[in-house]
Amino acid sequence: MSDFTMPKIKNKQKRAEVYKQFKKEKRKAQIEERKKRKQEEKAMGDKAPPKKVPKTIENMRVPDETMVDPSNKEIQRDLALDEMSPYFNQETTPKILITTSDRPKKKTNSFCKELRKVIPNSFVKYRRGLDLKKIIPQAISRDFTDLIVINEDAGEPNGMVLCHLPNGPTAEFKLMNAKLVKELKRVGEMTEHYPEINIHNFNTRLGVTIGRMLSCLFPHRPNYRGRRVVTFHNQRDYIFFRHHRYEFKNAERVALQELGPRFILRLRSLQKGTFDSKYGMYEWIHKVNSHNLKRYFEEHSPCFFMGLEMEILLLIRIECN
Amino acid sequence: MAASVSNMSGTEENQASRIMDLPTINRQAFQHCPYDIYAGCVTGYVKGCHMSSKSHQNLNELNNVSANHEIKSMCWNDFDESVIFTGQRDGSIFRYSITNEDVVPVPIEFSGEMGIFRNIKSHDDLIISAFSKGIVKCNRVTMENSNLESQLYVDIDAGTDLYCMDHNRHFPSSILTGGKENPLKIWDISAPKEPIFSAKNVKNDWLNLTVPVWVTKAEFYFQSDKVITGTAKAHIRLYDPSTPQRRPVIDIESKETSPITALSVRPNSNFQVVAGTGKGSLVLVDLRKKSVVRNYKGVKGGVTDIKFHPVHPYFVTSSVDRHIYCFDPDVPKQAKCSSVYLYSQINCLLFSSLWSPSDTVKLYDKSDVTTENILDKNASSPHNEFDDEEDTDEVWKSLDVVQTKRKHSSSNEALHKLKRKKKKS
Repeated sequence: MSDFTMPKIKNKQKRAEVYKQFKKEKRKAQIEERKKRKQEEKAMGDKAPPKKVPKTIENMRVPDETMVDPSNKEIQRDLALDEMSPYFNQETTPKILITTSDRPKKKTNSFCKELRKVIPNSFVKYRRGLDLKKIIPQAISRDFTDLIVINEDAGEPNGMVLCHLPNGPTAEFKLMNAKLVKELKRVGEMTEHYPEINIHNFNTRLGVTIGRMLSCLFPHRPNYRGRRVVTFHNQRDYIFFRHHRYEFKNAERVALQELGPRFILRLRSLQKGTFDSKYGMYEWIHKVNSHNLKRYFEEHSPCFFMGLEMEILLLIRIECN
Repeated sequence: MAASVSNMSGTEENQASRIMDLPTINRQAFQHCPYDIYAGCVTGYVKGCHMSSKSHQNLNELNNVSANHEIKSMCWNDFDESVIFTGQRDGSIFRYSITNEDVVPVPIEFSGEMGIFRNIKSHDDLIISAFSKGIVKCNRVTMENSNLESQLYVDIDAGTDLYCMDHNRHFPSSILTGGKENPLKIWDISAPKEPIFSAKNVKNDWLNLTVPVWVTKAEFYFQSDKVITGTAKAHIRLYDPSTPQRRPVIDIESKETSPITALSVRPNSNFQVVAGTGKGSLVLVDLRKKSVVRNYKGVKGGVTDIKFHPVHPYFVTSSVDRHIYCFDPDVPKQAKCSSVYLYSQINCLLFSSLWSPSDTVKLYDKSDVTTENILDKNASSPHNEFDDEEDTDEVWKSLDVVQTKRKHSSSNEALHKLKRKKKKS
């Protein structure tokens, strides 16, 4: 019986039975077809038709014209002129100020403390009800290079403002699924070695700026002895943060141990200059219904999902080779 | 004395380094001239774009990487659109000749004390440049043996925190200035000591608090001495200096939450203004309705400049999101016609009058507008100065046909009505 007549059966029990039978037959046919295909492949050997690539959101992505080609001279010039270039020219050493929204609850406080452990040369300060616009000049006079503000809602950290000092830019993120070290299972203990940074999949022009801002938070020269690695992995505009220690078991195998915390970031806006949400000039701002495409991404390039852990392992292996 | 001497040597060094920094011409780019749009970028490049092929070329080449090359403002020298003046962040001005394919520095004195370059305007041999610390300079520039000579004509002190300056092409002696806590002022170049008009702040708001004065963008109204301004609080105001009233004649409070960073009056229009904000919203404001009539979609970042085409009903906007967008103000769906990605943030724009919409119509997949419609619109736009007489004749012919049709149908209806009435009676 075809699926076309099925909805016309008015008895629910009968209809369900027919549907079950239909599903069974369909499945059978699929399995047979697969068998047949495999046999054909075996018989034909090298001449077999190529395997079909499954459709994923990533490989059906709408092409973005702003995809960065690092060899483009104009983009090189643009990057050399941007506000993060002193860090990449090794003229500044990062010094980070971490603060929260007013009257933080327990989780936000401990989240900040863990961030301080992750980011070397960072300081957690109590907000004391101060305006951000008053904090920024003070931070600049004390040679801070970045300011991180963790916002919370109902005791749960839900937002992050990342402001590069002294001349901006300012990025505003939505923060999701923040997991403290305590909430994770089988975590290792953090050390004070400078971590390696793994900025992955930030490939459009906006993504490159965000990637540069994030890598600005960490010191230039990682201490490889500590084997600590901090990952910012961008997938479909969601930025996943993970913190691991790796260990080479032998020439082939690498083991990973998570050190925590975990969180996910999603960009809301990128603004020129230091924090000024009232009169600032926005380089990019998230707009509802700005495009109704689910397959349109602002920051990253296509990649197949294979699990974060796997990917980090692969990356580490590539770096080591 | 010693201090002054050291200062002198400092300026000489500066000038020497400036000579090293001079941009050179990219000859290849000039082969594709004239371009539809010219754009000045943060990276220091002057770009020419073709909207139809979505391609762009750099007109200049830069040797060293420096933020001082950032182009803050651009203007045509005259209506024939053969010469472009560009103002850089550090205050140096360059003259790009499109027909002669050369770039010449304009020798105008400036120093770091004058702040950041804000705007440049030119009229005949006069160049007007404005700086953020309130200094407006008018120089007469003459060409001598392919070198430019300049002579300071007038120096105006327009008050601190200057944000905008504009020159009136219809009354060439008047310019306007405005800024943060620096109300709109209109100056006469021949009498630069006192402004001929200075605006008065609007009345206190409903809480009896003073409304802050912060003019972010101002422009002279089309072929008149009226002035339209946009503020950081997203007000759009029309001032009329010919009346004794110093407060705005029309004050529109738009619902935008960020400052108005770009403003342009629609030429040949019935009181229509397009305004762009720092958060990337783009609105069409009708001054008679005193409200926002239309929103345009597709701009991702803050709008830096808006330019209308002098004849065709189209406008282009530049944005910090590194794109140029072209819009038709009358399309009901209000989506962009086309966009070009230019690799770096764009500060200013020039729209060539040689551009015609037939190039971009191909890109018009989504909208219902047909070529006929657009041609009709162009034909019906009044004050069509650039067309030849023969063209206008053709246009009138085409118009006649349309009108007679309409008349025909309407007259028929009227006849029918009359007949019905007669029957009834």
